Amino acid sequence: MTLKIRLNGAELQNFQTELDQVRANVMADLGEQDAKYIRKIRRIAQASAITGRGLLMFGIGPISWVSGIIALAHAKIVENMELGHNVLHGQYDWMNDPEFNSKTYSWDMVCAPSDWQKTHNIEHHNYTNILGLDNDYGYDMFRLTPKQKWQPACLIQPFSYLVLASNFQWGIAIQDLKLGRLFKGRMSFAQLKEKAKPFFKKASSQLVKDYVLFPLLAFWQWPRVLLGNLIANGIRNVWTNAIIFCGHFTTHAHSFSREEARNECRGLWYLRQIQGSSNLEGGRWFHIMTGHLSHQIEHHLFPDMPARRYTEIAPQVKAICEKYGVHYNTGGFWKQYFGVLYRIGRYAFPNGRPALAHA
Amino acid sequence: MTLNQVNAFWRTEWLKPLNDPHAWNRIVQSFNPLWSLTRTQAKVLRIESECANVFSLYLKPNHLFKGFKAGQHVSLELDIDGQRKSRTFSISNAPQANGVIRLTIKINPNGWASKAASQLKPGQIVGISQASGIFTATQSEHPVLLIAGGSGITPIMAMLQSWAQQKQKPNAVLLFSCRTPAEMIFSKELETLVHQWPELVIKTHFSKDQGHLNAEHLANAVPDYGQRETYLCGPTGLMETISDVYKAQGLSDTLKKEQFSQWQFFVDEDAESFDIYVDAQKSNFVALRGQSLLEAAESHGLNPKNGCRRGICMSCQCWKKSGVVHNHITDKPSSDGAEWIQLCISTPLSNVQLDL
Repeated sequence: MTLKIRLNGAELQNFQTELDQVRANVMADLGEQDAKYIRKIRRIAQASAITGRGLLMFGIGPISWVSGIIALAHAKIVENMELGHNVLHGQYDWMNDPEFNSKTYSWDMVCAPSDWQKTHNIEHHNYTNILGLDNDYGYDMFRLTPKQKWQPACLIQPFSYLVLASNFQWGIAIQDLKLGRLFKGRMSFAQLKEKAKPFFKKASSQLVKDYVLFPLLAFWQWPRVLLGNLIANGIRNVWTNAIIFCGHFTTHAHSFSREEARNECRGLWYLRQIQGSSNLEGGRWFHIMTGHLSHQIEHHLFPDMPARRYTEIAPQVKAICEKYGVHYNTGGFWKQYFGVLYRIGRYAFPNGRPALAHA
Repeated sequence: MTLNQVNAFWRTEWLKPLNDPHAWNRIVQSFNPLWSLTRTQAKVLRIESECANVFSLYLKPNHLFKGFKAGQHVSLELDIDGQRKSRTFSISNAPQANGVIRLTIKINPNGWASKAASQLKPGQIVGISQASGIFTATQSEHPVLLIAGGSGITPIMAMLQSWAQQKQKPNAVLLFSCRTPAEMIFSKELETLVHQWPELVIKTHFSKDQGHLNAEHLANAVPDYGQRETYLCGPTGLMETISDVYKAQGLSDTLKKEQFSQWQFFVDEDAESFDIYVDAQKSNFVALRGQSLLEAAESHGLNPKNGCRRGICMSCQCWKKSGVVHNHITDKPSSDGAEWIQLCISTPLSNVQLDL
């Protein structure tokens, strides 16, 4: 693992100012082309969804079935990642268009947007990779660093990873419910029921859509629709999980203790975001299919910047990192993903070094 | 089942995405961009120049537009640099059989809206609101006086047109004040109107030569103004002068006014505290210059939703109805109109109206 560095004094100040400048330049330039782009993405997602659902419901034979699944999975991925994730971050709020507003948008998956905005926008983006504060760090399921205490339960984590990856939307959906508190007796069942209302509402509408409404509309073809929707949801789950896990759990992605993040100025916050995140390299469509989370570093520096701009600022951010000697963690998808899988496998086992109980 | 219950049934969560009006909008709009199930929109038919810096926009609204009364206004929604903004303009024609509405707009060199509207092209689609406003032509036996200043002629032109179409026309006098004859909007159209309606009396006042319209000018031009129901629309100065004259003579009840400048806010550089009006909760509070609206609201016992408090999570976003705030991330003042703002990074620059 690369060395975690910390900047001080004037150097830190300059580092912060240079990154602020990168942001200011882009934000001043936002305009019609960004609005056109996001509307185009929405048209693409809708066209894919109509094609996919159409092929599943009215197609004949296995070729149309497989193409239908691929088109629907594509629609769900583009909608969840490039549209939903980014719109719910408030990246397009400046457009003043109620259809792209983070307060009103809802996405094609089971997690209630308001729940996600809490766990993701507030907790994860603020406390990125701080052990004990960032719930996204291991999702309370995985031990990813020797700083986390090993327990025998960790041994099953390679298996639980497979379960989570194929049902990832449910993992995200129940994250804000903090079920652990219920088991530890810190939350009553009544409290949970109240807290889970948005989740039940959103999840039930998604279930009805994919497993009742569209199968019914296909009459005798209902089995292929039902199964097709299940597989399309599964493909989306595995894909988003892989991309998201590559964002913070790759070989060189650092974690932080609460002490390290205490009284942090914006420059140090930037520094933590960079050292805790990792990028993926790929072509234009690869970036779009990841919702530009392939530019996780840029996304964590400027979560409210329209994501298509991350490709544009990546060289600048990289240059700033090189100048200040900060490791810019990037690589191809397979290299980064194997790093993640290795960590999940490796830290299932004790590491021999003393674990820090409150790290 | 009542109609509302039927509507509620079709809007139920269980039918999504089949009942998502926005998704259907995108499909129908690929056939005709003017169609929409939800948004009142209009197609730009043509743009005509009226005189220097004044132009008329002819719009054909879609089926959702519920019509208007002469004298009312609509707000025009324009996408400027990707950003949706709106501004209110008076409709300057009477309701037409073919549904076409005309907005007559003076280009304000410091304003974005009039400039953007002047750059619209025929065939473009713009959003419009339903017509609103109580400055409308009423049916009455009384004689009327219409006082227009500059572009304040626009709603009055609509009223004149609508009266001209009727059999029972009121006894009407138009007193039109503008700077110079060249800046007189609708001069040709008013001539044509007089052919149609010979009893209409038009008096003009040119303020560059004669000075601003005052009580004396009014008495000379229309001696019987006290017996007339008066409609007044124009710049703030003119509105104040005429209002004062009517007030002094106890005639305020006969005066109907429309002020264009009502949405303008003047940022006071010296004042230290601003009133924040909160609609929903009826709990107004005071915020100081440089104090974030979130902190101010909290110090007054309000509890707006919030999250990171550094402007990245958008949890504290709320709808600002009017007023100017300073955004500390962009380091720029906001517009004075309705838009989303983030409470944690916004400090007031004027009184602000929020929808908390």
